[in-house]
Amino acid sequence: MATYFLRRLLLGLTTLVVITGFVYGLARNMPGTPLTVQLGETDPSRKINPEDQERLRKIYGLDKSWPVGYAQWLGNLLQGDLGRSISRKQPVTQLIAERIGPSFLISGTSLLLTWLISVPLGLYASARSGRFDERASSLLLYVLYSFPTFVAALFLQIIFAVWLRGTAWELPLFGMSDLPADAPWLARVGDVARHAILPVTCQTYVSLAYDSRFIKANLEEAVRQDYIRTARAKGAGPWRVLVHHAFRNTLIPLVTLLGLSLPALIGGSVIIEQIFTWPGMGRLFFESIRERDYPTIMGLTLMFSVLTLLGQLLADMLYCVVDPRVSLD
Amino acid sequence: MIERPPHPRLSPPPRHAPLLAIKNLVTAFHTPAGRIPAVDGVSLSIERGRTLGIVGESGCGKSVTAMSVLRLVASPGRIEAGEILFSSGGTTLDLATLPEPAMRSVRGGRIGMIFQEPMTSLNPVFTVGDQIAEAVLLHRRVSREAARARALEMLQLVRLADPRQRLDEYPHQLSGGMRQRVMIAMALACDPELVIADEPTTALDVTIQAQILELLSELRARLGTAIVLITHDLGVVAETCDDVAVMYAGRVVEQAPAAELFARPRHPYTIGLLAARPSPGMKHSGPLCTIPGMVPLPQHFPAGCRFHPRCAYARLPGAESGSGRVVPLPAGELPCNAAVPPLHEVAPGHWVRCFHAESLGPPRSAQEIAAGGLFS
Ligand SMILES: Nc1ncnc2c1ncn2[C@@H]1O[C@H](COP(=O)(O)OP(=O)(O)OP(=O)(O)O)[C@@H](O)[C@H]1O
Ligand code: SF4
Ligand SMILES: [Mg+2]
Repeated sequence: MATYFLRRLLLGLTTLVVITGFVYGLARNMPGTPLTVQLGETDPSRKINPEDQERLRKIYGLDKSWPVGYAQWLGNLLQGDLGRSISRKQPVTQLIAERIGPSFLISGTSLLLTWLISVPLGLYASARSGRFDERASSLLLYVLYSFPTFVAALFLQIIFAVWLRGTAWELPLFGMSDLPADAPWLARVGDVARHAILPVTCQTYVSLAYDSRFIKANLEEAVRQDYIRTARAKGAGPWRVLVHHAFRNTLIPLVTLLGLSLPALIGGSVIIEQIFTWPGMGRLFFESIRERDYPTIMGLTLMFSVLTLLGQLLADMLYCVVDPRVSLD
Repeated sequence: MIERPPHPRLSPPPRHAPLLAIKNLVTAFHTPAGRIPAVDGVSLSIERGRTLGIVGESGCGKSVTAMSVLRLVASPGRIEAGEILFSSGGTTLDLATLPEPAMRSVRGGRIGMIFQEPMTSLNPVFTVGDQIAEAVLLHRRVSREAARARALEMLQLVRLADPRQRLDEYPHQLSGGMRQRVMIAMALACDPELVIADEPTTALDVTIQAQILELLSELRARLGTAIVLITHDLGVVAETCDDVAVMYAGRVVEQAPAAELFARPRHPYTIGLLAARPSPGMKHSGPLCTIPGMVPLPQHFPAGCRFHPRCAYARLPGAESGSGRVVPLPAGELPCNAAVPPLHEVAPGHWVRCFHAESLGPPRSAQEIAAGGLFS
């Protein structure tokens, strides 16, 4: 047990150093710097003079080569300092803290909905495997799965924000809230919820289609096993066989899926947050890359990597819970 | 019905009311490649408290017959015709047509089943105790504690070492032989009247095989449960079974009490099987006498008597018999490939499906056959 965690920790730290080093090198070698992208390219009239530019380069450490820059970043990290965002003039930790909530709101709701719907759907699909209703619903799910999110988002925006404008069904086009910060909290909660409906729908339908197919495929694999025949020979009914015996065994692969979704749960979705201008982590990531905001890029990379590693750890630990054949040593 | 004087409990009860009687059972698989009649007219009967061995070459339909009795044939398989009459508790149920909910109380309740693969037949994520207790809870209105107590009792009955500790262990912590004991405990947990064991020892080591068979015999004697033992091994049948049914190509070709069958086999296929068996008294030097030809696949079952292409006694128009021997056909006699021979009783309790069972000549004992060689 202890050796397992020690091994995991060492492996995790090595992975983190490799990933962050790689991303830092990549970011620094992308064309453009925070200065050129921010000022020079977006607005040619505001070209700063060479002396100022040199001064700024020194301040942000852009005059050093990327390995030196990375070593500095790593040194600061060890002291608990993720640096300040260049474009947003804010500590990176504060920036991330502000964005976690909105991302989690969308992803958490979506994850919950996905599992609440896809588990019964997968059970239903494998119980009625091959029948007409199952084939029809599987086809529908497959179509949904192959339907790109951004197209679906666009359709939903047109329907609910344009066609249904002025009706009770109208939903906001984008953003997280229209109300001022001093509005009553209940009204604000309702407003945020209304804003969240479309992004949550968009994020849910794809994972829903994927997860229910995944569950169905695993269930179909499980019901072919000998122990299912034993359960039926004991006199267990079809529902008990499916849920108690087969589904309990599919938890083993499902736990992996759950572990893999941990980074996305807090990290949010770049595409959806971008389309719906949702002030979350995914959008911050996208913008920080566009702005060559190295400290923010690195802070987010670090966060995603840590979450991914934690997700794997969580999956490993859940494995031991759902599969008695597995232990942590 | 003739009432017989009560027997001392040592010998099996009267033979007039079979516990299970299968009549002309047809079970076929409907695959994209066509209909596969894996079981095509099986008739056999099992007496209360006795052990019936079902033997036959691989693919002859033994497992499909067993699965049909519990109606567990995997799709695309279907029971298409026939009766499976199960006489239990004063009533007779036709398991071939029994509604599914009633069938569920038969499965595991009145008929237990043991499978060939002990390594995969137990659910890996539940403890042994839970799996046995589940069988109890499915059929008895008892508390969880009582079901668990019953599970422990069953583990003691099948003589698993450290039963109290094993109760909370998972299948992967047990060896193959131990798992098969657990399967037996599970099958017997609800005091079934019949246990079907489909090659329960094939996957085990030889020494473990003997232990498991011994356990089954002992439990049968103690609990009075009838057992259907499906096996490839005639030696096992000779040691453990009261009756034997020999299957060939989806049908039963001969059924008789074991002693009778081994002493006086009547069907040419049985005669061949016995001849192919190394007898205990014989030195294992020369090549074994085997039946020429191949087991036909259900897709290509021969017409008439299914054994005719391999049968040395077949009476066919021309020289079609397996040995190439031409047997002149008396006027008015049906050739063996023209009609299905009926399963008929040639001696009390001895049934044979062969036109010429009575005229094969004096029945020869297995020793003689083995010594002389029948199909040479
Ligand atoms: N699921 C299935 N689909 C199609 N055909 C099947 C299926 N299961 C069994 N069969 C056919 O049924 C026939 C009989 O199979 P069965 O398993 O009863 O044989 P068996 O006598 O038990 O043989 P063995 O000694 O090898 O266990 C086989 O020839 C096979 O072709
Ligand atoms: S009926 Fe004919 S072919 Fe069939 S076993 Fe008897 S003798 Fe042989
Ligand atoms: Mg078999």
